[in-house]
Amino acid sequence: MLLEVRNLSKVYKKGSRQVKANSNITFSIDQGDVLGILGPNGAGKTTLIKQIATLLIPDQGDILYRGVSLVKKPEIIRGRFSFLLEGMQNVYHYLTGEANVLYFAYLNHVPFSAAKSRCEELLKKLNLYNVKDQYVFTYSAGMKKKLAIATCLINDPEVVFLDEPLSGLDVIAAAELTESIKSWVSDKGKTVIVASHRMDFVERVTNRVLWLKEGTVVLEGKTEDLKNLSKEEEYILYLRNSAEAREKLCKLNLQFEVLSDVTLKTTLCLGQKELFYSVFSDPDFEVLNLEKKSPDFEAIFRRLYGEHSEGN
Amino acid sequence: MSIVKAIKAEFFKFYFDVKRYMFNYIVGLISTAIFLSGLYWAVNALFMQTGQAVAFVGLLLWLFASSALSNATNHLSEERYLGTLERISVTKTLLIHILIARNVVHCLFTLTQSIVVGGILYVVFKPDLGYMLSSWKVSLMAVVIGILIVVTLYAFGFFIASLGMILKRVGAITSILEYLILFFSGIVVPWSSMPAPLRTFSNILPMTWGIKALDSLLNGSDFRWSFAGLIIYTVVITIISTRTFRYATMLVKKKGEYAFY
Repeated sequence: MLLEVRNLSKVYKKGSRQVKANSNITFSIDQGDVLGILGPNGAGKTTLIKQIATLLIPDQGDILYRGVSLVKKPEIIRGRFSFLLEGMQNVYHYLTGEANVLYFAYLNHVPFSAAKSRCEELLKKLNLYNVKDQYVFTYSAGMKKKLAIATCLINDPEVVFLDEPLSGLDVIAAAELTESIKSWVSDKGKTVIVASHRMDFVERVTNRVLWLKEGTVVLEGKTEDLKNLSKEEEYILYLRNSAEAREKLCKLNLQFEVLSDVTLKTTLCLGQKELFYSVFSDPDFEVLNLEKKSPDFEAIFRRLYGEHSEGN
Repeated sequence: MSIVKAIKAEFFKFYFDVKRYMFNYIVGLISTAIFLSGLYWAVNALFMQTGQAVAFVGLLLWLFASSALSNATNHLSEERYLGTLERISVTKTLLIHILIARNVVHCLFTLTQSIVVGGILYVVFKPDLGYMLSSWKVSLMAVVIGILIVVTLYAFGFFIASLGMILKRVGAITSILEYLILFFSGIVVPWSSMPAPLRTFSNILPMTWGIKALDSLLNGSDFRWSFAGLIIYTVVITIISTRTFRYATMLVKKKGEYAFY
């Protein structure tokens, strides 16, 4: 086992106010795992990563790297783990792109000659080679994010932590970065831990997922298994659009979408047997089509966190 | 080895810093030369002939005080402000080594600055450095005292930086400390002419013992007690600052305020 998190708890105290950030979090990571940590804002994802990064001392519990406690020996992960931290710049704006990567290479004790060639390779891979001599303050948000990832990978770490790597990026930059991370993960076979509330991203990149809610683990498993969980349970019903049908859907508290003058669309879970019976037995509902909802994490997310969290 | 690698990394970063802010560095050098020239000219008359050498060397050494205090706190607050403190804290090089390496780089820059400013002052004012240069033993001792003063100043700056981990706005008081050191360490106002309460206060300032040792050395009097005081001060402040840094780091990591600006 590469990394083991045992009963990790953290409470932030500010005067008389206490905020529970993590509570009894336990999980483990094997070499080669790509773990996604999912959860809305305030679920405790960043706190968890900062504790593993030894930037935050846990109140309780321990983190073991190959059996060695990070609480007792925090220096053991230096150079072995790399962290892209959320909300941080992670790079220096007054340095050029290349200088940033080389500076972090030197801080991670990469020999000068190796640093130069590895830096060139990484910048080419991340499509930053043409702008390597430009100051970072001229970069777009997506370019800065990619550069920050390059600074994380320059020392070829054993484990990479990416905290909200897509935050602040537009759709195109996010798609580009997702592809870059995916290709790096498949090429190198490294252990990666990604914290995000972008479920589409986690779905595409990870093979295991840990779901956090209010600082506790609510679900853990293989990405494929969790996708199937949603696939089995959600169905989309296409109904004939009529005043009666719309009225009855409202009475049944079922949300619907008017697709056209003739078609309505609503979603039902397999577990909602009574609703299925009502819809199929009522002559006011004419079912035009029924299809399984394509697997996605959105559905699980809604179930776990409810409509309130969806806003996050 | 880790510190050597950190120094290489910091030289690399400093090169880009100087390249980008060359104009600011040149302006800083000119303003320092004007400030120290004016000050030396004004206080020159206060000193006896041998005191001129102390004032001359003391003012140049004060450049290190100014650099040590402002850089020590700036390095941490700048990293917090930029949002890069956590990022550099998770590299293979320990944060304390990165900060020491930055101080070494800035100390060497200040040395260059003091050579340039010192050269200008020497050409313009021709201070009497005769006794200091009279024998290699005196010159060597003056250099040793100078080095110890610089080490003390950077250790003191590191102590203030360590406090800055907990008290985020401590950097604002560094300019007060710079002026206290300048005026009450015996560089500008001779220690012998200070009133008794001020002498007591002066003894806790990081440059005082070094300036006293330098003064005694260049007067040809017994400098051993002041020199011993300088060594004790250097050792004590170094121990206090490293311990304070460790304690402060642990405290902010417990409270979750490590990178708060």
